[in-house]
Amino acid sequence: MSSRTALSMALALCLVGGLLWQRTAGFSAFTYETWRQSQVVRQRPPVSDWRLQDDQGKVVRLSDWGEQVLLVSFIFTRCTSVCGALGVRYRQLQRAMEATGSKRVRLLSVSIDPAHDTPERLAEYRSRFGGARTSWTIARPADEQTLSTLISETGLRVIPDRTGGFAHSDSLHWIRDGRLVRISAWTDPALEGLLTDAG
Amino acid sequence: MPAERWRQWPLALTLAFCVAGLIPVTARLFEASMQAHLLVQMPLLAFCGGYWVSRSERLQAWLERADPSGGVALVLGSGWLIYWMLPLNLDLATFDPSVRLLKVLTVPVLLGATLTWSWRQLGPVGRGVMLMEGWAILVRLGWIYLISPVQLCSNYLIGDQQRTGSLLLGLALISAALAAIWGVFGPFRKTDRCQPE
Amino acid sequence: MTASELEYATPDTQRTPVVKLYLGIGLLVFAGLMLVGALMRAAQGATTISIGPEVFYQLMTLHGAGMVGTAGLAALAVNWYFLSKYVRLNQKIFLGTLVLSLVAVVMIVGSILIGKFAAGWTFLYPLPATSLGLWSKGAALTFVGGLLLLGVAFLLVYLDMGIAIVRRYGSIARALGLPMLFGREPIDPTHPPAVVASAMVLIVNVAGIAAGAIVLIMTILHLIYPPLAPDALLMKNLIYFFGHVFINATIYSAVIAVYEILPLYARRPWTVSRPFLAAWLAVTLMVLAVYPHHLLMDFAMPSWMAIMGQILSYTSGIPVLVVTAFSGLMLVYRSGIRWDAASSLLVLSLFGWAVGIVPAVIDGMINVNLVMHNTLWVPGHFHFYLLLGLLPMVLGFASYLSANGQQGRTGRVGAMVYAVGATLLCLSFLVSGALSVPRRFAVHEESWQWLGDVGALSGGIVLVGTLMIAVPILLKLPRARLASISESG
Repeated sequence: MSSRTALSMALALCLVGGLLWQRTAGFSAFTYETWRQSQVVRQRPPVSDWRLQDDQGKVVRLSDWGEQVLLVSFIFTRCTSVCGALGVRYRQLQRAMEATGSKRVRLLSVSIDPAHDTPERLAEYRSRFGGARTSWTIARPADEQTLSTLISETGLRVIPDRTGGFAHSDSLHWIRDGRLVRISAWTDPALEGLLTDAG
Repeated sequence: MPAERWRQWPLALTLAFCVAGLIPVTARLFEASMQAHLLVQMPLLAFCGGYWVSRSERLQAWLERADPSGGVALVLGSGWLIYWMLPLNLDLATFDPSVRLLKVLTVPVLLGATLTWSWRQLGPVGRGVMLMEGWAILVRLGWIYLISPVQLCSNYLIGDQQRTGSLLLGLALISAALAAIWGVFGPFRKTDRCQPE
Repeated sequence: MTASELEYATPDTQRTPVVKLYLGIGLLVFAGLMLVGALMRAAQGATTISIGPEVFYQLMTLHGAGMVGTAGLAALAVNWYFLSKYVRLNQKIFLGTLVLSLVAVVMIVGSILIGKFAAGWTFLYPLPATSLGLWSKGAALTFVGGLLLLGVAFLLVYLDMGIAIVRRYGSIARALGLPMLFGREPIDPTHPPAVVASAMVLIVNVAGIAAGAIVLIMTILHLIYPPLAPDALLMKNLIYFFGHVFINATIYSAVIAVYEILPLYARRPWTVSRPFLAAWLAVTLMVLAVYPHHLLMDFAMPSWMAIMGQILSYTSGIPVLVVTAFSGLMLVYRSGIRWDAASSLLVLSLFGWAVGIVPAVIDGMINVNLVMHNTLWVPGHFHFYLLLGLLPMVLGFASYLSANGQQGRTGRVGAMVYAVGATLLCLSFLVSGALSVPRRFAVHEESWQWLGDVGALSGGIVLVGTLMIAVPILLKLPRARLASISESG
């Protein structure tokens, strides 16, 4: 093997390695979901002022929460899998907030199936877990436009499954001051810390 | 007139390339399911590049000067194979236009053409390693898709993923059986000493 | 040799240099790892030294991985050297295998001594990923990566051997003698046993490496991303297929030394016959299917596999062994053989291989296995094969290659010391097993400790015997050039 060949092979290796490094955010993100998480931490993309309708039929906007950290999860009420777990998790977080009296964090469940999930159905979803309205809002996008906006702004992927429902991300989206600052797994134990810690 | 037909290879190639990647209708059709995306469209795109290398004498002459050993092509080709094996890229290629364009343009050249060129330039030992590694990739990927606890591609359902895994493992099984028969009883052509002395 | 045969053979000048390198490194590492083994037994004996359990398991991993790798390399050297007589092999690839293997060794030794990896050479999934803080993920990755590199290294040389064999003999099946066996071609008495054995080793080892390529990468992926958890039993099957085939094949490569060297002593040819070919075909299939005898305790294994494991354990050693040991004795009988280091060691290896079957068969019985497999009986079983079968073949070959077998009194006494020490060592394991002393225990009960001391002592004797044979070889090896001359005579 000539030194020229060896050198070009080393260069090719660096090139390919560099491209892989760049795409996977330093060999940490191999799936779209983890990649989205790493992108958000880096870019903190802005989100627009979503118009939502809660389970009492009232219209709420993202800006209503002001400085509070909003944990947004996406659900649909016919969902038989992870959406139930997300509800339980939110109720758990809510209890922790009530115990400490912290007002830093607010919870928001947004339906990705607004055509089916009327305010009554959202209220029924809440009743499964029994959470109070004060710190946990359950809502649907007020119009089709908002649904597509929030999907594109969060990079969420929603695909129909074969049973009439949807396959979608179960991550929690942290929104603060009109920016998406972090995406974490709903099982992330760091969430408990977020409720009480300052900063 | 086989010679006449061969002369039209650029046309056939362009057609295959368009069907695989450029015409949105067929491209979307391939990308609609994970099996077709991974096992039909990607190989077809790679095949276009490979076919180009094996047919075009001008390209061969250039490669002969640029990468006589095929080593650079091997590094690029295997790296790009890994790149497109990432669920992330498979995912992005289905909805991010720039990544889709990257796929359609680079998979033929940086994957199909490179690996074909290195295959042509490598000796039998190198080819053997390439075959073994290619086979192992089928098994590993199939196994991962079958057992992964999470939906690896956010654009394909987990059932789709498991079906793809089973298909890959089935392919691996068939190719293992063929390779074993060929390896032990092959190569089924006249060698230096076919008759006992 | 006819002119056409010479045309196929590897040029004489290319046959020895790299083989010498393999043997030199192999003998040195063998001696070093024997010391490690003796240390472990001494630690279990607890009268002379004591080492902590963490260090013990590191040493166990080092001893296991090192011995398996070195056995593979040494057996490969024997195989390559004699096969190169018949087909044209590529010396550069052979050297490349050694270089890659040495890089792998550095990775493996580094992961153990620096990274404190101690999951055993079998890296049994999911143990590498559940270190409880004893070693880091990086250490486990380095160890597994080292094994992967070792697999690639061996694949290279086996592919080269396969291609060269096909070039001369038309196909691997013909090299294995299948057409002769099944009557499609007349028996060719000049067909070399070395080629038959090489074809068998090639088939099983390429299959083993294929399994390794999968299981090693799956282990790596699990280490990187723990939720990706493959089925543990399937992983264990693949690991044992890979590992057992690899270590099993070493003895089938090294036995070529017996086929090639003993006839020179006896001045009678070792020719192929139909039973010989049948035995090697049977062994090719059995070595691929015999590994479940290490999984008889896994109650979740399908029972047909366990039964197959039992039956094949009974039968697998027998074909080649009967053919080899019987033909070997026939060959030596009244031949006026010259008893020197090489010939004694080679005959000792036949004894070790023959008698090594007994503990293997006993452990291969499912009902016995359930109580014996986790005792020192099993180390007794494989030390018997490796220490009394494989290693004498390698030492005999090295002695023959460097000194034409003539190592004088030291050599003969060394072979004797080695034989006594190795037998005693194996017995100390087997007796321990019979007394239900568990294997892989760093600390032994007081009532078992005397056996550890006996083991350490006999390990020391083996080391002395090995050094008596190996040191003169190592000193002569760089300049040795006798072997190729005497072969033609």
